[in-house]
Amino acid sequence: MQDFHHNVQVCSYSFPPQVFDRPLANPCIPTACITQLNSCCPPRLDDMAIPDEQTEVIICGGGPTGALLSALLGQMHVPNIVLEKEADITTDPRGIALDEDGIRILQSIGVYDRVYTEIGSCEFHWILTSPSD
Amino acid sequence: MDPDLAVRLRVCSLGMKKFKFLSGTGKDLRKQPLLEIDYNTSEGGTGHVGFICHKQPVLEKAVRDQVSASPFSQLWSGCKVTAVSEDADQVYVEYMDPEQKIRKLRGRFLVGADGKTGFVRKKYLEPKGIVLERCIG
Repeated sequence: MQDFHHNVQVCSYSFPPQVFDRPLANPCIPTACITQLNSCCPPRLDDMAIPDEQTEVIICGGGPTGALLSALLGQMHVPNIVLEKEADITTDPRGIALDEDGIRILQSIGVYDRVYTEIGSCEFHWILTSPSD
Repeated sequence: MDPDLAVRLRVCSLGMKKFKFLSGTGKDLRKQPLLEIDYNTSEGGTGHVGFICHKQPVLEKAVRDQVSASPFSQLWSGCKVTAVSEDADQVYVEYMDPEQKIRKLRGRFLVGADGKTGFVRKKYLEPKGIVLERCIG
């Protein structure tokens, strides 16, 4: 309970709950902290106030691969932090094909209902050319 | 509905159809392709269709929504990794936050999901002599 209180206290200073030295499956993150946990920016704090942040798994890159891993680790209650250099989701043309394994893994994180409604596209106007030509 | 029919209907609307790879930078899209692949099939190795077209930004939004829903996952945007080191117990990552301030983060594992030209491969693994070798064939 003392630990719980500590988390709430920390969060009031816009810092996410510490995950220091906790067992992997930690069900007792206080509800009050969830908003902070899900913030899309790192915490702002005085350097002197809080030591280095710590988590279990650091993921460098928040594209489909990194974000999917984060979602899967979250399902398994493994604390993780994704560091993404871009401010927002990249919108320039990238992957165009989603194969069966891709569909399956989206299903595994619970977004299967969005595959054939939002994610899948029946438009097909991509033009692929080799840059060396 | 017959599940197989349902799959086929999806493919009709979302299938990849034909891939045509054209050379050059001109605007003639009807010229002879270098390579043509027919992906207009429902055949896959699992219960799912083999391929569909997708909109990656929409896919990423759906994935990020799931990340946000987990109290164990955080995605920090605008944070660029600038240094990586490790000892026997932990890995230490320095990153520049959106306010251009260098911060530190440590963890038990680091996963490089930043691509073939990303920091983890180019600035950390390769200088240590670790290279990704190409598969033959």
